[in-house]
Amino acid sequence: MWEVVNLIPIKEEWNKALAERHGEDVQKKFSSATVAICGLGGLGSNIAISLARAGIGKLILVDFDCVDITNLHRQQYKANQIGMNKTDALSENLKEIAPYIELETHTERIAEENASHLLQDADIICEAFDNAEAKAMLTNLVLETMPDKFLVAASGMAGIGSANSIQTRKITKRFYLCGDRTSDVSEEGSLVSSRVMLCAAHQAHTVLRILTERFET
Amino acid sequence: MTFDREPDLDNANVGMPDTRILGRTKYIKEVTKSVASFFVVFGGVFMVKINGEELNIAGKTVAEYLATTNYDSKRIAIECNGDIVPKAQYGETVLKDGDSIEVVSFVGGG
Repeated sequence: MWEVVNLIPIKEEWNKALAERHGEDVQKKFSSATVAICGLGGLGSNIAISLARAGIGKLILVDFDCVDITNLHRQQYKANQIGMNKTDALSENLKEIAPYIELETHTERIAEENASHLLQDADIICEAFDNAEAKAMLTNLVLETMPDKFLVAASGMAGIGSANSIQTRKITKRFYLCGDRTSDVSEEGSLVSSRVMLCAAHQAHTVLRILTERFET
Repeated sequence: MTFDREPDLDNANVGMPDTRILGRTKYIKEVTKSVASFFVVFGGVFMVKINGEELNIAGKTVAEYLATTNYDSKRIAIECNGDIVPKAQYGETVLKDGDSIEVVSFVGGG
């Protein structure tokens, strides 16, 4: 175990590698950003991994739930993490991937009362809940009360429909929506990892595009 | 009593469309369209665009419009001309001529 730990590159090497891949200017934008991920299920766990790999400086991870055996078909957890808080399990996994990322975790349910406190440091907020009412609640709350932040939400990624129907749309200057907008899990009956990952990738990619000021029209 | 066409004495044309009447309906539709586009072009827009569809509901509030639809108010967010409409203001936000609205209706899964 110690041998493995000793093989981890030092922070300077890590940052140099990222800057080589992304370019120094882009990497600076990524490493100085704080992104909040609300919900650490199929969407949130995949968004977090994409953003950690891209070298985002700080992630705020919020989820009240524990890892369950029924999560493992699409969420980025491991069999030996069943029963752990998702915040703790994901932090463990992210640190293995990107050891120098800063993580702030909140093992609680986001509601109107605590949202502004939990999300105050975020530049961009990812809505990654699975419940439609919770999605709408967070969307309205962020757009109504946090006008300086960007929101990247998701709706419609259930079932085994075409990968090509997952899209990103700009709804307002600060509100982006990913998904096919219609595939409801209560009608489709299932979520498959590949299609949820597609939607999560759209969200993560939208975050990176916002940070590099490549706004959709 | 006058007929638009020759009386159909032997019932040979029963069930067939009357081409002259159809032609007239089409003419009326065309005229209506031109009048509508005249108003659109010259600033007299009188429709509200909702999710891409032009609806003649200017003057109604957002809440009144929603009451005519199947949207679940707990699952939606509404954008009007590029800004979010606060939920508490659905009842007092009046839709105006030329407004462009998007109702985002969330579905479950994540």
